[in-house]
Amino acid sequence: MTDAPEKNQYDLAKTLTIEVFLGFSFALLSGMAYFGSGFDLEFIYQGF
Amino acid sequence: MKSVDHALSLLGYKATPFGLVRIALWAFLFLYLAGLALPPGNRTIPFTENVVGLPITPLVTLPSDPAFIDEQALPTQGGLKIAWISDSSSVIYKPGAKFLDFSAMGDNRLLPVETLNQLREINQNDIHIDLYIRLSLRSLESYTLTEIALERNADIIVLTLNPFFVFNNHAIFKGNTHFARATRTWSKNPAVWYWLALLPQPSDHLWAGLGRHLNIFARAPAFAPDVHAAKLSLWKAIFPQIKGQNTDKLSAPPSGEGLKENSMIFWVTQRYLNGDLSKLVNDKNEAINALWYRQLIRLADFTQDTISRAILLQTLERIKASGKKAILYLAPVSENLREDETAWKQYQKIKSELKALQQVYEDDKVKLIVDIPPDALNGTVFVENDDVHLNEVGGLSSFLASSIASLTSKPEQKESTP
Repeated sequence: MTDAPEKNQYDLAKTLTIEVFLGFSFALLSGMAYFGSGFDLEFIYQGF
Repeated sequence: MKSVDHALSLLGYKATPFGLVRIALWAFLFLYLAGLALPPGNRTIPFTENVVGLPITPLVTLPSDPAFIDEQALPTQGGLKIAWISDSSSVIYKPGAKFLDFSAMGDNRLLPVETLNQLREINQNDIHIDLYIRLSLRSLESYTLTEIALERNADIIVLTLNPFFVFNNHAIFKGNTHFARATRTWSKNPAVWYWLALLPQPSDHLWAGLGRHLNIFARAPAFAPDVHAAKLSLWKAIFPQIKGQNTDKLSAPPSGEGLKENSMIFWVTQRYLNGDLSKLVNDKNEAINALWYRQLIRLADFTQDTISRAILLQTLERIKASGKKAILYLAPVSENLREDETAWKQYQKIKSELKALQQVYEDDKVKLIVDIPPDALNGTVFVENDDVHLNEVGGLSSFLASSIASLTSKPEQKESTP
């Protein structure tokens, strides 16, 4: 038994939407990471 | 929700190789679009106000700016191109000042400016200085700047060696933003490729690769002070008892609010400082630089296979291989250091180690100045309770000017033909 075409289209749209969301998240995270997360090493590296 | 993977599987998403490629392309597209939306901003370069009207170009960015260097073109005219790489020991604190006021850096003078004036007095007028000064510049950043100065075709490099840090393996760099630029530079020297794996985070390699090609990374650093200020306020909101040191002028705390002893926190938390630590700060909670620096100098490590030595040797090797002229000088210290016998002995050992390197690397192009003649320090005044920072430059600028002049006036040695 095969899925109905509507179901396949729905799955494809869902997959692509999730991928766009993940792509956006990675872009946002990389932008934040460029400045350093600020929570790990920055404070400890404050040797004069 | 246990993890992102779990959340995605609940949504019925199955990762495929093509799916990962599509995600990467979307990420790239969003970064590209963000770059189009971000307006060009004016990057803040420290010490700009100290060199107005002078043939000096400050190039090192704020510590929070991952660009590290403001990649502006060199002036095409000009004779002698000096690259001056140094730390706070080249900042002459305004008379009587014990600390730098980050909101008024223009009130202080700079050793390179004083040296330029001295060079002009001995009729060396056609000079341009690329100024690579950063407060708390450490040896690894000095190495990177040396490479950059060589890339920019400096005629002579003047490099300060800070006696308190030159053989200290615990503080080879300050902050991690410099790696986003450094990896690009280090990759040109196979001898330091292992640093690429050891020191930066993988993301730094990504920034080094993408930084030049995506507007978002090229332009965003101009907004670094705002990002830094936002991060600090978040920190303070979460941990109100912690106040971060802030060397960025634009987001410096109002005078009196910054905790000056913060400069010691790294050393305290890592338990490198001994004894009664409360004696290292004064009644205003300000670090007494002389006292904790004297503890730092005890940490100098003279064994052969150390990272600090590797960095110093690579700096010397690269200068030597370039055939460029260079003056590396050990920053003078106050005679008050003698008050601490152990620290003074350690200082003497540092000088001996450098003198051994002098034998190997010094020639008619490279000068490694370990002992600055006592005459040259006539009139030099050190900041109170501080063994390395200056209130008055005295004869030091004149000494450096004459060293530069004598090195650059030597004719280039021609290779003899058989």
